[in-house]
This record gives sequence, C-alpha cells and structure tokens, in this order.
Amino acid sequence: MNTLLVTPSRCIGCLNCELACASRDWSEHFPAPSKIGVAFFRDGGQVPITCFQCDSAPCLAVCKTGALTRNAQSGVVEMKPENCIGCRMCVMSCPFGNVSYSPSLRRAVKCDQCGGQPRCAAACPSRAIEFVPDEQTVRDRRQSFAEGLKNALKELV
Amino acid sequence: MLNCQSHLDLVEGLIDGQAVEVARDTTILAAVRLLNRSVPTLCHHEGLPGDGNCRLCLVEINGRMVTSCMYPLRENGFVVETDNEDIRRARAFVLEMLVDRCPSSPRLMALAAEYGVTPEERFKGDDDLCIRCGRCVRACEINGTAAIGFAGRGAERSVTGPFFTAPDDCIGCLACAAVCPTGKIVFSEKHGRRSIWGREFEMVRCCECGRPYATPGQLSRPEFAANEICAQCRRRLMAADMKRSFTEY
Repeated sequence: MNTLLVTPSRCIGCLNCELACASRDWSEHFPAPSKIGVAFFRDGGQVPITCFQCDSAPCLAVCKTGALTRNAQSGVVEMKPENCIGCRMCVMSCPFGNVSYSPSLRRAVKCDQCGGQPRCAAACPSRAIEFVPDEQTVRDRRQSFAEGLKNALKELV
Repeated sequence: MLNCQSHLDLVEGLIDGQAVEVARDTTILAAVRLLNRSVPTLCHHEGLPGDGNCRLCLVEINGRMVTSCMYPLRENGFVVETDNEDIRRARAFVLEMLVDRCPSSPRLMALAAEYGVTPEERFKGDDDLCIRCGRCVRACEINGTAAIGFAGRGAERSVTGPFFTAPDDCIGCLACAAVCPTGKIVFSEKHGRRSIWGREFEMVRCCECGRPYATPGQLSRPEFAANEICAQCRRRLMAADMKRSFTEY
C-alpha cells in the first residue's frame, strides 16, 4: 500500500500540485478549487497540505447520504459525487479544513488520491509530495530524524 | 464461508433483452444504470431515498408501467423494458405537464425537445420553476433538519416552511439549493448575512481571519463545537503545525 508523503522542507512553492489537482475536475487550470493547498508563511517556508485520510474520519461519520465511503483496500475516504447533497457537514467537521465546498460543482470536494495515482505527486518537481510504499515512508522519516539528531549532537560536542 | 458471493442474495432477469443479475431489492433504475443505459430522471438523487415524484423514470416490468426509481427487483425472471412506444408516450405526457409549469427551465426544455414536446399554455401565467420533485424536502430530512415540507394538494402543492411561514428550524445549510434540479431555490450571501426561505442568518465569523463562514445552526452540532475557525484557516494552522514539527528536527 502506498502513502501520500509530504516533506515540507522540499517544497519550492511552485503550486504545480494545486494546478494538477484542479485540472482533474475543471478543464481550466485554475488552482482555487484544488483539493491540495500550499500554505505560505511570512517567515518563509511553505507546506503542501491535503486530506490525511484519518482512520476515524469525522467527515465520514457525519455523511448521511453515503457520498463519502472508505475504500477498504486503500483506506482512502472517497467521494461519490452523485450522492452528495451539498449539506457541507463534512466541511464543518474536518478538523484540518481539508474538505471544501465547490459552489460551481454544487458539492463537497476532497482528496481521494486520484484513485491510486495522485496527480499532485506526479506534478511535484522537487519530491515534496511523493506517493511511496508505507514501509519506505517510515524508513525515510527515521533516516531524516536520525540525520537531525546527528547534526544536533555535532553542535553540542 | 469461503465463497463471498454466496452471501449475496441475487435475482436475475432481463433488461432490454440483456440478462442481468443484481442484488435483491436493487431498484430497477439502479439496475438499468449499472448497464449504462439511460432513463431520464429529475427527482432522483443518488444520495436520497427514491420518492417517485417526477414520474419521468417510467419503465415497463413484466408489461406493467412503474416508476423505476421506486421499484425494487425481488423476484427472478423479471423482464424490464426501458424504451418503447408506450413508455415514450407516457414520458412525453409527463414532460408536457412539467414544461407547461416551467417553460423557463433550460434542463426541462432540453428533455422536452428530446421527447418532441412543445410547451402550451396549460397553467395560465404560472411559470414556476419548482417542479415539486421534493429533492429539497428529502435533503432537509436526511440532514436531520426537516425544516421544509410539502403543503397543499394537486396544482396547489408547494414546498414551504410550516403553515407557509419562514421555517424556524432551518439552519441555512443550503443543501436544498444544492440539490434543486431547476434552480428554483435561491439564496443570497453578503456582508456576513445569508438568507434563504425567508430567513436571514447572521453568519459566524472565523476567529482567525474574521471572514463569515457558516451559520450558527450549521455549527450547533456538538461535534463541530471546536471548529470556531473556518476551513481555510484550519488548514493553514495545520500546515503551520507541520512546518514547526519539521523544522524542530
């Protein structure tokens, strides 16, 4: 199984992920309705952020029409557009603001990892967004944490 | 049990001459759409229970005409026809009534053109976009609000709050407007106020950015109580947390 892995330190703020995401539902390259968003900070740095596919997902719990369902295989919370009645309960419930409502589509939109081939990861030029096997994400994170520790120790000694 | 299939309770029959096998109690409409065949609908919404209001989805099962969105397939050996002379005539008649009521709906006019129906003046001076499909009523109900409903009978049937007043229970979630197939339900949102169904809501402002983002009713559920921040700011704060945790190491 693969995970959508975000490494903020690698993000160069090109917004290709937003464009790639938005162009899936809209034929125009217009980033506003994108399901992934890059947050910019005044003190520098930027963080791409999208749905975390929570294990106990509040959006899934409040959806009354079966529009949001969990894919048993991938664990991704997917959206069935034809079932959505636009009540925005999922938008209200998401603790991270990762579900939004599209006035033009008249329904909620959320990341479904493009059904296993996320366009944002494919469009990212700097590997800030990757779609990698679970085991690798853990290994990579452990490695980067170890490097951080090593640097910190160097400063001490 | 080894074979998962054996859990399924299936029924088989014919749809337009094609043999199909579907789970028992699947509606004809769902079965027909599984075959990628089309049946016109207006009141049907995948997320809402069927209601059989618009009567456009008429099909024949074993020679009997039924609304396909409501009719569950329960017995083996059903024979469904989705298009023949009789069905087209019945649908055209339904469409005649519908376009006479609201000739200004583009979606209805497109359907009418497909069935060769032209609007006549049947209900004088009554160009009402509402086709009484009840999607809004069902959406309000399923959402746990049930603020609006049908009142009156026949030509006087209409969607309204209780006793033709602005519905007190309305939380201003706008689901009714989102599911309306003709665009009859209108709302406005400006200067931090949202109005719909004759109600006006002072919207809650985000504690972070100050933008109005929801009505108090939408946030009244206990599980949303913590979300005093709009979705965009929640995302931004989460991103800030992520940034912090990544730069610490």
